[in-house]
Amino acid sequence: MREKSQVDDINRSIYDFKNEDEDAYKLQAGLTPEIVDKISKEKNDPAWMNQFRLHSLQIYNSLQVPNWGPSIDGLDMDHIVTYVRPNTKMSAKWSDVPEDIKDTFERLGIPQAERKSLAGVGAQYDSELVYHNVREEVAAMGVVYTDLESAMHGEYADMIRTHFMKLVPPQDHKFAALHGAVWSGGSFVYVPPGVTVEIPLQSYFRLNAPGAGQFEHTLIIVDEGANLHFIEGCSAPKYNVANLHAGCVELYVGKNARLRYSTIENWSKNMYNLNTKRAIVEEGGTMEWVSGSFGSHVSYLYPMTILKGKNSRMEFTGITFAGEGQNLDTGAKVVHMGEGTSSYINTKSISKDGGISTFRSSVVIQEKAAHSKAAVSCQSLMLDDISRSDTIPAMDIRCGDADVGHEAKIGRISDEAVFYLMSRGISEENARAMIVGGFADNVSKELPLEYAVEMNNLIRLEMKGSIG
Amino acid sequence: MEETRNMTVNPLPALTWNRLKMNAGEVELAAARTGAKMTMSELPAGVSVTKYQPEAVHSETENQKSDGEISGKFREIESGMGVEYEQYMADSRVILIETQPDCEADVPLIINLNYTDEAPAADRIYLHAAAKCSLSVIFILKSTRKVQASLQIKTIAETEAQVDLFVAQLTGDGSTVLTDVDSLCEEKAQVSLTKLELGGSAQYVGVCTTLEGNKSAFHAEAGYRVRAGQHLDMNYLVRHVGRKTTSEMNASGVLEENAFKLFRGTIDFPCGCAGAKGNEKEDILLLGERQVNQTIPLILCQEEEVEGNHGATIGRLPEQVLFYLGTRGISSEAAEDLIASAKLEAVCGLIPDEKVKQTVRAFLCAMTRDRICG
Repeated sequence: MREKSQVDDINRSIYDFKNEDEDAYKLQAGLTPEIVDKISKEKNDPAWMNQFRLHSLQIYNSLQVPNWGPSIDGLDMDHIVTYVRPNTKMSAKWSDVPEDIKDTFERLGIPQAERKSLAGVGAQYDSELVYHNVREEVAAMGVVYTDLESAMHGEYADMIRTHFMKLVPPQDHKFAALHGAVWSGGSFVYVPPGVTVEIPLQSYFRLNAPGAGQFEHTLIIVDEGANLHFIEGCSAPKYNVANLHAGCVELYVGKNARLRYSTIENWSKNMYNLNTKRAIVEEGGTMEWVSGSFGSHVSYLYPMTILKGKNSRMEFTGITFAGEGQNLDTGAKVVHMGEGTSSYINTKSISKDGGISTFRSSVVIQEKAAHSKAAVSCQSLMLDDISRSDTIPAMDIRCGDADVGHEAKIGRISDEAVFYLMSRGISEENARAMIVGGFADNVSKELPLEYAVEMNNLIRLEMKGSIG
Repeated sequence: MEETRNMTVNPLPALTWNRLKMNAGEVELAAARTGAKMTMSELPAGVSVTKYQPEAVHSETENQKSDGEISGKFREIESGMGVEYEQYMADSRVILIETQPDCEADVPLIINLNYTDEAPAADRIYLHAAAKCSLSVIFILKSTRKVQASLQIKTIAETEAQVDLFVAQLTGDGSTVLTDVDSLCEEKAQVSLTKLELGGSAQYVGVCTTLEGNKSAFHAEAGYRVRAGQHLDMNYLVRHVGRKTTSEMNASGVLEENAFKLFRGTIDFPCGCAGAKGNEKEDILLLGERQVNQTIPLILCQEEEVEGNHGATIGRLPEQVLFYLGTRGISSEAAEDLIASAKLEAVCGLIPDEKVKQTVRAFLCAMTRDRICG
């Protein structure tokens, strides 16, 4: 009789601590024009943004929730607080950040990472950025890395207005409209032509308040021939009430530019993660996504790339780990518009303890995208028979001169592979751990070393098994 | 009285983005209909045929049987075309083909469905294969004019039965044709389906097989050639309910300029189907500059001990192939037709009757404007 191997849940203790939010300023729960107006006043919005928010709210009220994907019945917007301001102002020095908030980020390792391996850091706590800093030598190259609200009022105001929610218009879907109405916080990055930022920038989003939403907006413009790696991290302590994350990421990749956007998403298991990410790539440009989805109760997450320019390309590498109580619907979308464009989507997913993992993708090759190539590969690992794993890849090819390949596999840990490793003197539990670790390797090897280590710690796949 | 009925057909078992327009097809059909002109080859030994009228219209004075007398199990077979089509077909006649246990039909049963009238036609053909029998049935749908044809084939394959179905759709230009082929396999039963979509203008194909019994199996080979202005909408679904069940679905097709094709293929592994294996593959050759080619292959999995694979390759003929054939005096147009015909010939070659093969080949040659058929 063989005992089933046990893959432990992610150890969340290092993320699950919480601070009292007594000092924070909160708007009342719910979503009304008055609340949206209050947020706008809090943010000192220019008039166009105030109008944009109110228009987005109208769109939100006119749109339905999706009839596909995981249920979001447990999300009641009347009980979500859309704006929570911590009792501090944004600073460029950690010493100016209040002790409890600073301690939060210390425990998450952000200041250490900044010292060791980052060109700049933004740290958001609930609805506001509390820390933002960029290395002097990076700023000297003309790289702008600041909070979006400041950018909206400074010399980049026109650039923000030209690009803000143009890639993800509020009409796109209900939660894009929600974001347009109540967005707060987030970062603006501009990399001038020809500049290569050698080490990554990072934004970290922490949602501390129970029953709150976080709606940060990230806008990155990488100009012609420039090169950037941006890392996004997020976490929250677990509460018994629903929290909501409906952020938005808009990425503009210029001619012959390159942008890598890496995310380690580790929201708590009461979180509805309804995030929208989209990139547009000009001629010869490259967009690379590296995405690890580990947290959340429900996720809808499909970073999209529009390959507008000739010979532009994208690569998406992702892993999703769905455990008990999680329904993670993840994947990627790509639209080939330009000639000679290419895309590669490569994902892995693991389901255990009743977790549901769905890989969902769409590849669209438009009529004018001659000589385009697309490849999609998704692999799913089922670790028990109470979990679920689905793959729903769609392809829509409208150009006769295109090459598209797709492959998907679903299965369990192969007995043959375990046997092979055991015949080399490795115990069964170690053999299974090696196989599952190797399965996740496609993402970790794409991350900087420190983050790969964090991800592996995050997964913390402890195996035990015996054959009796 | 309603003259036409709008229906949602070929629903995707798990929905995705509505803007892709792949979740289901929409079709408008005439509400009133009659049966096709049907002829059959000589019945193999051990095979019988009975006609039934729908319960609503059947009359005892005409000595007709009512479809209410047919085993209720047929009604339980899930339709690939969907619930609305199932309801639409409920008013049409049923031809029930039954085999005796252990019978081994040595020749295929050939059923010709000729659509000669302008009146829309709808037929249900039910096939009850008794335990350990083997039977091949060939269906040929033909018309020389624009018609509306609806066909539903339902098969029950009892323990260790082997049923091979062949469906060739050769209707005339402008036709709207819906074919729904659904099966239920008991323990160790095997159903195979070879399906060629060549004629008509709007074609809807639903295929659903439930592998209920342990070690039962389903194998499908689909071939299609879609010309300019044609619309082909397919929905293939296999549900692996029993343990150690296997399925294999292969689709191979050709799309010409301005053609539309949507292929939905789903392998479903519900909880309890331990040891099941399912494979699905689509191989598409694109001819011309523009067409709409949509493919959505799903795997739905609630069981740990399964293996599911799907793959798709979509593209045009490699330049090397065109160059090679060009050096042998074959124009690029003729080369494309040659390769396209070879793909369909691989499916056509599976038909176990020479005359039917010739009929299909002749239809294919007519489609390719005699460029390679002389």
